[in-house]
Amino acid sequence: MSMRDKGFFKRLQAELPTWVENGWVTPEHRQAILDHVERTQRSSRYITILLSAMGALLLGAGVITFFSANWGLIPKAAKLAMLFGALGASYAAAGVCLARNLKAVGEALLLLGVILFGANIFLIAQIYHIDAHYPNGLLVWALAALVVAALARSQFALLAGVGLTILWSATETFYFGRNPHWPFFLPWLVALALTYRYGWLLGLRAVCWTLFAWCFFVLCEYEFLDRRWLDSERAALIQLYVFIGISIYIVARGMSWYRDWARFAPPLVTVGAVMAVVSLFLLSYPNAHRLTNTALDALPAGWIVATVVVLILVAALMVWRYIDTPLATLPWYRQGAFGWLGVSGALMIGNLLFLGQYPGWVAFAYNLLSLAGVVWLVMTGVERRERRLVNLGFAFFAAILLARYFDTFWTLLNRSYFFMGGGALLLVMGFFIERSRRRLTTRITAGGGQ
Amino acid sequence: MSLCWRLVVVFAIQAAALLYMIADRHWTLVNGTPVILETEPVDPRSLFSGDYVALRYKINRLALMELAGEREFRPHEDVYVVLRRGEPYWTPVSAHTTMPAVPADGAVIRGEVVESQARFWNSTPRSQDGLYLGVRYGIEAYFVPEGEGRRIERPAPNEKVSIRIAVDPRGHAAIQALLVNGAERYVEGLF
Repeated sequence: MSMRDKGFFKRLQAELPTWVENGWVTPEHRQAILDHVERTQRSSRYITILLSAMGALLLGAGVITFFSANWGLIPKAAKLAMLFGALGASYAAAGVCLARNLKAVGEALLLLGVILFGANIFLIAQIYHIDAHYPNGLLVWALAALVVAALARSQFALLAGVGLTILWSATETFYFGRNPHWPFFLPWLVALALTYRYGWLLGLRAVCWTLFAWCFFVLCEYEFLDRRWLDSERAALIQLYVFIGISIYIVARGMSWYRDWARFAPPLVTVGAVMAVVSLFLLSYPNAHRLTNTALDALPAGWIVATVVVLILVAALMVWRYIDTPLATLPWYRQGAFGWLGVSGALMIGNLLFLGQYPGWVAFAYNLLSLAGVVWLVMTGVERRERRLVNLGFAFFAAILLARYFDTFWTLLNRSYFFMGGGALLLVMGFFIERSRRRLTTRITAGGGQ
Repeated sequence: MSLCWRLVVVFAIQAAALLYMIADRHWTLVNGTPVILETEPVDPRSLFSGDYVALRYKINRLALMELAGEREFRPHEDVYVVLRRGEPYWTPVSAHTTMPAVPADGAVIRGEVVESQARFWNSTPRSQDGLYLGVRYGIEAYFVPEGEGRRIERPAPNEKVSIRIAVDPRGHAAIQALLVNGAERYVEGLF
């Protein structure tokens, strides 16, 4: 926000009470005007921040490239002086800018400091021929970014720290077979605490999505717990994800009751819902439940225990959420959610006990539950005036429809018929889904929803 | 705490982390036992700058049936290899999953198992004859000035490249010098 913009906003704040008194503006319009001006100014500030951040990234890349081109000619002591000097200079310049209220440039220079620190780790490793376990370098880099975020109160640095944390975890998982990579949660929890401490919503979104990514990294790695995955273990874990996603969703809804927590609820609602939906989609494939190693009699008992614990958690959260609400007063689809949870819980346990005996039927049941989930998402989105839930519901519906078309007709139809049918299905589905989605989201927007 | 002091603390913490990297490496170079290893240079590649020689040592592939110590190693776990002094090259004696006592005429170097051929892909154990262990010690890259990499990669027929490393009491290893025909070509120091 430029000084001129700030001045305009302050003058408007000072003038508006008089305008209200004179009857030129209603009290409701007063707040709406202030909100509008603040929003407009905030978006122009984001452009400044974005440009400054791009500047920092380019400068960082330029510095590294310059050193690279001339590296062999520079003595070791001079190299070190340059590395430490550049690092110190970027923080000093950030301090000067922040002290003069040039927030965007100051933030960008802090980000430059974080980038230079990472470059310094790898350049010092090169100078001293340190060829260690390289993900440790990413971890140190991530922690340093979080230190900058905490001490300089920089959301950019937090975003960098969160990004580096998930990169560190990905390299440990995929290149060093550490799956699940539990140490991920140490820096992740630090980042989460910082987002709460400073009320960073963008940071919270990043923290939530990295958790989502971590959960699915676990599934993608070839090994699990220092051995190969057992048959049906992945399905057992995805089942847990469905209910973990639902738990996050319920907690987020509960957070909106509390004044201090309410602003953090929307990103968690989205992540919880997406996690449950993606997991249900994966479970809707019969292959997810099929055994390839028929010698396997039963899964390790830990899976049953974990499933029961998660089911108890969801039940406890539902009690907490609805303890003061008579169920008869809820709309039908919210009452139906209790039945949905009960049936899903029974299906989860049954699927673990009957281990791969009825893959087709289990997948069929998950398809029915998915369709019920679509209805619930759309109805909830309309009732709460939340467009993102409606969009998610329609996207989920389209994905299920397409997946089943591929499953069913890929082998049954001649390829040309298959593609013609698929194309026609896409066109018809796209038309009807988009029309319904637009109708509902327009209703939400007209009602002042998000 | 004012913003200025908070940024000073940020810089101090980050500088301390970088200085620790340098100090730890220097400590190994100064206090480590000098060990000469036979190398098999593989190929130089450009990284941030200049070249680095990707070095391969005889001890990167351990024939467990020829060594004392343990047989079961898992990928990505630490392995401790006891080296015995030789003339001029040091050779492996035994491999362990935990740090053994350092013999009087030897050294213990710590590595990371990168490949364990103790089992086939389907988890069936191999016979004892086929037990090989791929190990990485963190001394497999050596950065050299631009253009030097290829000369080291392809030494003249009468040149033999070897590496002198320092192994400290924790088992950490650092490259001390790159030798050509036993004479120092590059020597590492603090500055």
